[in-house]
Amino acid sequence: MKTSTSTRPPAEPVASNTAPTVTGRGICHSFGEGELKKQILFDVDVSIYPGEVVLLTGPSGSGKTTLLTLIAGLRDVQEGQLYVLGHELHGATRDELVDVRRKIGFIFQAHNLLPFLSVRQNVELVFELHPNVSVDEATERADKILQLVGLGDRLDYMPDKISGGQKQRVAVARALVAGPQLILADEPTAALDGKSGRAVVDLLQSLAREQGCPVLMVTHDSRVLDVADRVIHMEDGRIVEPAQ
Amino acid sequence: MPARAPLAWLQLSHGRVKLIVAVAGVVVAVLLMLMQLGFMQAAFQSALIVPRQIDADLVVISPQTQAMFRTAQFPHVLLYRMPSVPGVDSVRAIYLATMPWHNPWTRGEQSIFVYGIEPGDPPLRLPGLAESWPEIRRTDAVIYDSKSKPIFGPVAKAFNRGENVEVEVNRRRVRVVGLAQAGNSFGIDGNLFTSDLNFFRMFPNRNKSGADLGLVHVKPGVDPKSVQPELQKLVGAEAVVLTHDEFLAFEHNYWARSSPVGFVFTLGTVVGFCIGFVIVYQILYTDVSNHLSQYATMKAMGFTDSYLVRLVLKEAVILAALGYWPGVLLAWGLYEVARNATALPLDMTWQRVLGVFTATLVMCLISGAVAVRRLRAAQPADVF
Repeated sequence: MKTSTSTRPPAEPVASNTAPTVTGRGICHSFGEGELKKQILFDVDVSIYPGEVVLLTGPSGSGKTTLLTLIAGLRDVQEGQLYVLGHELHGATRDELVDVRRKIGFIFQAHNLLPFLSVRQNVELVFELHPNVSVDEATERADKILQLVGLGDRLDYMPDKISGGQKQRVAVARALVAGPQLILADEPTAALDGKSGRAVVDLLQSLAREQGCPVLMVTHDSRVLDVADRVIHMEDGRIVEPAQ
Repeated sequence: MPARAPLAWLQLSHGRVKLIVAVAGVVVAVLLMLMQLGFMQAAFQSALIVPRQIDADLVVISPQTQAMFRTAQFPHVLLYRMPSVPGVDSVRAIYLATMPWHNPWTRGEQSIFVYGIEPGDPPLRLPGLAESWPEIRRTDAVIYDSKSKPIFGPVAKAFNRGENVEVEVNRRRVRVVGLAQAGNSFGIDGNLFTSDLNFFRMFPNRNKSGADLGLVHVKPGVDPKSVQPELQKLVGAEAVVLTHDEFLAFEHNYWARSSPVGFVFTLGTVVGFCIGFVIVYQILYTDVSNHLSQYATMKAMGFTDSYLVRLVLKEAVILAALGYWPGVLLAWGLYEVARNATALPLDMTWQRVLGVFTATLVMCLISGAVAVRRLRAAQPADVF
């Protein structure tokens, strides 16, 4: 197996009979055409189970981000099988991909909050994708999740009036508010100081545990390795045994 | 509890300067369109004021006549045969010419439009004309159009003060014996009404056998249209017999099609539309460009392209609504100013108000539709 080993035992042993949230088999991916064609992923197998916090590490150019965008349904799968939340993404239509993405909570390196919306409105915005949730309920859930990330006193602040760490926490709240079934995070702590970074990953970990949804996090930040149930290490487009 | 955040408005109003510039662009476009269309209609209206007031069932003109202020003459004798046609009550000729008016106050010279009218009742239903109508049978007596442009001098004021107003028209001294109200137009700055005899006294070189307009009255109860073919047969190809409505359509057609008036003002309207389009497009395009990473993030989260397209189009509609009303108010004020300065009949009509609103909406929507193409640059796969 090329997959992974645990850095520490998961809170609950990952039962092999639990259906994985993400299953990838023999995924290959290249960019460019003809002479310029460059293969980025080589025969990658990956599985992520409910409740896990999985870190994806590796030097830049190793294919982590490409793998993440494939799982996120942001790129078409070229080769191999990739099941995410019960959908086969290889050959999926645009609408199916959008459907899958709506069940995923995204946390980006750049928080990309809308500058003209308040903290609360940025989080509420997610419910535009869930019209069955009433306006009142949306506000209630947004307020609750913002309390949880410690921004209960910043609800009506505009993004340019809060600190970088607080913005990232808003982004976390935005990712979590609609109850996603998978969280994909790309360097969520890169722009944060140690303390804020720590707070964000602890938050992710505890919320993941409570809501039972797995977290796949790309990170270079060695300070947060301890939250992981597993570390997947990539080099040159392949998954390798983690350097201990 | 608050309603869903009005995203389009919040985005638009986030930058005050951006919003003001965009709205100002729409205001300018609305203003230009309204002014141009207003002037165009005023030109048509003013050109039709006198023709509308002609008291005749049928009007005879030369086939070469382009419009009332640009007539050719037809043989006067054609009119002599007309009373013999059954149903015709009376026939009368009007002679028209532009003559130099010597302004006694400034010593300047200005072209004035002169009507020489054969005896009978006043052939034009203009306010004031009937009161002093018998006076023009006197030698060198004229009725002055008090709505002529001020360049002819304070004629009406002097006349109303009881002064004896004598002026030189085409080097002949004439006396103002009354005031009527006609109105100037793009073709004519002022009007004088006098008898046919005085007309030829002022313009002795003019060929007396050619008339400019023939006014035909039919007997009561007779449909002018039933007499028209008979009269047309009588005059053959040397003149054209029109009903009063046809004559008005003929005049309007000249201003709309043959004169540069229709073209120039239509072009001005289109320019206004284009200015608005370009400004709104620029603002929306920049707005989309500045938020590309946010839009890409929203797309990654599962927002569809059509959601974002609708967002941009909503911004366009908001700009249209915000810019339209100040534009209408400003135009309304400028109509007032222009009306006082030019005496043109500038009026805000409902059709124009609604038409320009539609144009503004379309203008903004096209801007938005072109600007959303920028959304394609928002690639969700690139946000990681």
